[in-house]
Parts: sequence; structure tokens; C-alpha cells
Amino acid sequence: MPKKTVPLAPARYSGFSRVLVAVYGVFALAASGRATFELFTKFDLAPFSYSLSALSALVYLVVAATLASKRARLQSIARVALWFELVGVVSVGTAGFFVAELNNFHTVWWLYGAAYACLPVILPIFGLLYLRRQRKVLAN
Amino acid sequence: MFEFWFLAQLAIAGAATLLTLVFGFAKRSPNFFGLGFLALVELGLLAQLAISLALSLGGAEASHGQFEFFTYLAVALLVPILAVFWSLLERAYWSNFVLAVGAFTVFVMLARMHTLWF
Repeated sequence: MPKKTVPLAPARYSGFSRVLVAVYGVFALAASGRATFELFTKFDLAPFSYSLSALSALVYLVVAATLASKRARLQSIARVALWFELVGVVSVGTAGFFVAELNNFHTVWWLYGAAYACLPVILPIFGLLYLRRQRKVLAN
Repeated sequence: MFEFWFLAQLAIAGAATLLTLVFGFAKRSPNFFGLGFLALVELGLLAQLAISLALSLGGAEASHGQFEFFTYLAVALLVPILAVFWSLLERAYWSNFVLAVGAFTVFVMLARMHTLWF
């Protein structure tokens, strides 16, 4: 098999964003499916946690739709959504140790997203790093 | 028999994930083998749809939610198609990682479908 590589530097960053968008797409799909299911079948069980799940589903959708864009306006929307996600998962994850209502698997953000391999706390960091790098590339 | 099919599909999806990851880290451009494996995953899901529809018509049911099972299956069927589409919009070695995400998603969904059915 001949070895074919694609060594272009800009493509590297945009390629990385494509993978991030794919993962965010999966998360948007999973979280909104889960939230819809919970909303219609057992919302009364843990209304606050389920509302949080629905909110995170919305954030994933926004990030998936805006992150790979080259337009500055959409990128800043993605940046806000990513910060919101990061602050959300860290605060809900931490609050879980003190607030009984949040110390359960009813929310995606429980224990920093441990049920999803901690990706909910890792992904926004990668997303924000990507946007920062992207801004540098565009500035040069 | 149906359980065997689940396991075979898990093996295919798992192999597809690993293979595309290896191609990605080797910095290959998206190629016949990676895409072929994704096509295999899709074919397996189509067969799964045929089998579970036939079983359902014969009176069998997913023991933990028939509706949930078929929702998962319907969404899983879209995943390889979207992954291939998204990966080929810009052909670079990163495309392999997109395919890996798709294959792994199907893997997880199959595991979930397995617990829903049995």
C-alpha cells in the first residue's frame, strides 16, 4: 500500500475541528434523545437534573453547529457555549458532592460526566484550545 | 442465533474503530479498507433491521422497550452514512478519526441495543 499523507498545516487544525464536531454531533444526538425520553416518561422523578440534561443537549447542538465554522461570529457563539459547558460540568460535578439532588446519574454532568468517560469535561477544553489556535492562525 | 449476530456486529464495529484509529495515527488518507469497514458496519445494521423486524412480526419483542430498541436501530443506521459523508468533505488523515468516532458510536449503540433486547 503506498503511503499517502496530507501534511498541510492549516488542514491539520480544520481536520481536528472536524473530529471535534463529529464527537459533539454524537453527544448532541445522545443527549437530546435522552432528554426527550426523560421529559416524556419520568420528568417528575428528578426535574432539576433532567432540566440540566436538556440544557446540556442544547449546548451540544449549538457547539456542533458552530465550532467548525470559519466565521468569527459563529466562532464566538461556539466559544460562549464551550465556556458555559465547562463551567456547567465543573460546577454540577462539584455540587454533586454536597447537594443530594445532584448526586445521581440523572444528569449528564454528574461526577464531571463520568458516565460518558469524562468527555463532558474534556471536550470543552479541547474545543476552547482549538478556537484559540484558530484565532492565532487567522491573525497571522 | 440473534445474540450471535449482535456479537459479530460488535466485533465488526470494534475492528472498524481500531483500524480507522490506526490509519489515523499512521497519517494515511481515508482509504478503501477504512471506508469498506464502515460499509460493513452499515450492512450489518441493515441485516439487523431485517432480522429484528422479522422476529417482531413473528411475535418476539425487545424485553426492555420495543420502541427504544427500534429508535436506537434507526439512528444507528444513519451514523455510518453521516460519518462517511462528514469524513470525505475534506480528505485528510483526520478523516480516519471521524470514521473511528462513527464506528465507536455504533459499537456503543449496539451494546445498548443488546441490553434492550435481551
